[in-house]
Amino acid sequence: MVRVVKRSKAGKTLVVDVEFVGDRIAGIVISGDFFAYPEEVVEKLEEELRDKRVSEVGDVLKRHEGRVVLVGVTMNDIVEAIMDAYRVFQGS
Amino acid sequence: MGFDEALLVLRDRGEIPPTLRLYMWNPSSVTIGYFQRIRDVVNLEYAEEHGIPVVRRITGGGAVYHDAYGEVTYSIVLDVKGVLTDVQESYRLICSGLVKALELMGLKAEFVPVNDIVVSGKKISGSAQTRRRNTLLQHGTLLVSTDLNVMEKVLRVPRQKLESHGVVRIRDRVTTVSIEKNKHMSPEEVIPYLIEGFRKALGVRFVEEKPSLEEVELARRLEEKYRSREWNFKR
Repeated sequence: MVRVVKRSKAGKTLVVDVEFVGDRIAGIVISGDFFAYPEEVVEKLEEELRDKRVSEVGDVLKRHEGRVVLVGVTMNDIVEAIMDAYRVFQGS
Repeated sequence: MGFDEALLVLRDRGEIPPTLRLYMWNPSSVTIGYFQRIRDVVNLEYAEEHGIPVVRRITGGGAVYHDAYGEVTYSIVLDVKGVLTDVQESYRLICSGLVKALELMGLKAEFVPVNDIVVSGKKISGSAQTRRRNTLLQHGTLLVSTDLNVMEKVLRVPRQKLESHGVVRIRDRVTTVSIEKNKHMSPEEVIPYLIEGFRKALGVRFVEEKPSLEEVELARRLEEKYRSREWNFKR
């Protein structure tokens, strides 16, 4: 499990805990003190990211853009955090 | 927390009017944001040792220490229409009620987006919001005479968060009404200011009422969720 903690431009904390198997996401938890409306979309996002290749992350998150209002973080912050986690995983 | 959710549900069904609730916690408690991992943000050993319950909110945002003798929590349910349609603007409008209340107490307060109110550059209040189809619930804390020693012990703040504020300890980042007024104030003393602040900000008239039977019954039904390990440890 790789953990990345980021501070967003809006001053919120974003934490991603990702388990990788090769270039696939075996499991992910997105947490922090941000806001999302409706809240349940973040859990759906985590489910959809499971078993996806890292290269598909951007597309998966883009599909959710119109379904959720994020406050304090952006979809791009989440993509960057996952990519940072993958870089840490590759270097480990 | 069950009562706040009950207000949201019942207002969304049109069964109660828009409502402001002001309350204090007994015993002192911690609430955590919907998306937070409980072990990341709360010292659970300390909380258990000192009889401080921890409960997950239905709203995002950060962990809050609700001191039984030094904090007031507000919650408000309003219809999502007009300026309240926009999330950030709704925070600004509702938080202006707290800003006005603090001004009435003689303090110069400022709303800092997303959800903070600061006095003398330090956080004195934080708020969080969730929405249903037609209704929003916003609740938040006002630090009146909170014991910052306990707050520092029971809350775990990510190092990155403190660093981003250029501080090393929570107490360097937060303040209370009592500290700013340089005299002790109780939660009960600030309640009239809060009512007047929200009245001015929202341009409404409040009618004081006791909780209705349907509010109490729904809150009791929701209590089971908020007491469950499944809910509080879901992250």
